[in-house]
Amino acid sequence: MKKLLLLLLCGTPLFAQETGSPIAEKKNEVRLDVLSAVAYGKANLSYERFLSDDWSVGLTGSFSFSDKFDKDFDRGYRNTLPKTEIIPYVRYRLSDSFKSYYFVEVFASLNSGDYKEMIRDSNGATAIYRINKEGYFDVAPGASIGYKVYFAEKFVLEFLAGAGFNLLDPDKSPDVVTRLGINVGYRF
Amino acid sequence: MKQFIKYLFATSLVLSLFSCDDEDGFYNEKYVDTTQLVTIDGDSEFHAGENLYVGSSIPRYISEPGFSDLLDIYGTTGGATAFTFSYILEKQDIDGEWIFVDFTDVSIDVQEGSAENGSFILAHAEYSQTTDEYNYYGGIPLASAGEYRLSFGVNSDSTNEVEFRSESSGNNINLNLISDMAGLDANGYYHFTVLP
Repeated sequence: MKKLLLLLLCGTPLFAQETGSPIAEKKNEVRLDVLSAVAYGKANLSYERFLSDDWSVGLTGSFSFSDKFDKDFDRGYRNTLPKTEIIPYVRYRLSDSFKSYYFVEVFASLNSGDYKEMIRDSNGATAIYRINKEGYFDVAPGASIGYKVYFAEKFVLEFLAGAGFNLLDPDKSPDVVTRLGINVGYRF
Repeated sequence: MKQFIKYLFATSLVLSLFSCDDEDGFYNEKYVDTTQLVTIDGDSEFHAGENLYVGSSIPRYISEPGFSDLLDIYGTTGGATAFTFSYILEKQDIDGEWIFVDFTDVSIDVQEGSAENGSFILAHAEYSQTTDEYNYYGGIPLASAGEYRLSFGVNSDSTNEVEFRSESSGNNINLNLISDMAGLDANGYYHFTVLP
């Protein structure tokens, strides 16, 4: 952790202008989110296409493989089980440097999963409570802030924090979709 | 840079708190208010050497506040084999202090259901296919004379009510029946005297 902070603190100065950077000439990047894999049991892959020096667009796809979350859902410790997420995003680079820079993004999370609730079933004379499970799908527009640092002009380490709010079916889907990640990737 | 790191951590913290909004709680738990599921045999006076019998008889179909139909508690719990509740006995010493009566090495006269005894009694009202009822009937010996009180608040959030919890298997619904009981004071104690 100390090394991580040191890396961030000693990064390239915020407004160091670079021109003709070899990094900027590479227009594609793929990344894997190690934080989601370890902490949330989610496979999370991203692709980013650099349209200009400052603007880029991308797509993140993730799906859950966490057995623990499945069990927690079945045992009733949670009432939603997010499963898949597709996130198109647009980013704007805030810093001048290409080797390390801050960025902001807007995104739309198309997320789906399972939802459960307890319902009362009655036949008129008697009733039981039972758990009703169904799927949900929702869209959460949101925003994030992040920081990238490149090594050897092609390997990238990226920190990302953001959130969006589900709009279509908030009674069933989670209110908030978080976008937290520590990504490692390759730019080409 | 430092400000950014602070912002990052602060944001993460706030978002983590927000993300807990829908996730807290236990979604397989159901609480239902009901009435008079526990009875105590006898009145407020006993004699040393007698047993104090606590009984419970819970029908499979019970009325539920706000509904005209009956709630099937056996069906709701996926066929729970029993409902448990607990109680403790205290005796007043010569200084007026209430002292727990320990039942660890005491024989409990259980005639229906089952019980586990230690510093408190954990009673299991067991289901009978024949009667479609959950039943418990157990007697604790009253060894010596004095002032006593029973409390049903142990292992429960209820103070002056008795809380039954279904012994549901697997991921079935855990049904909690919250029952009032005749004879309890405002603090949830049932007082009685044991004469020599």
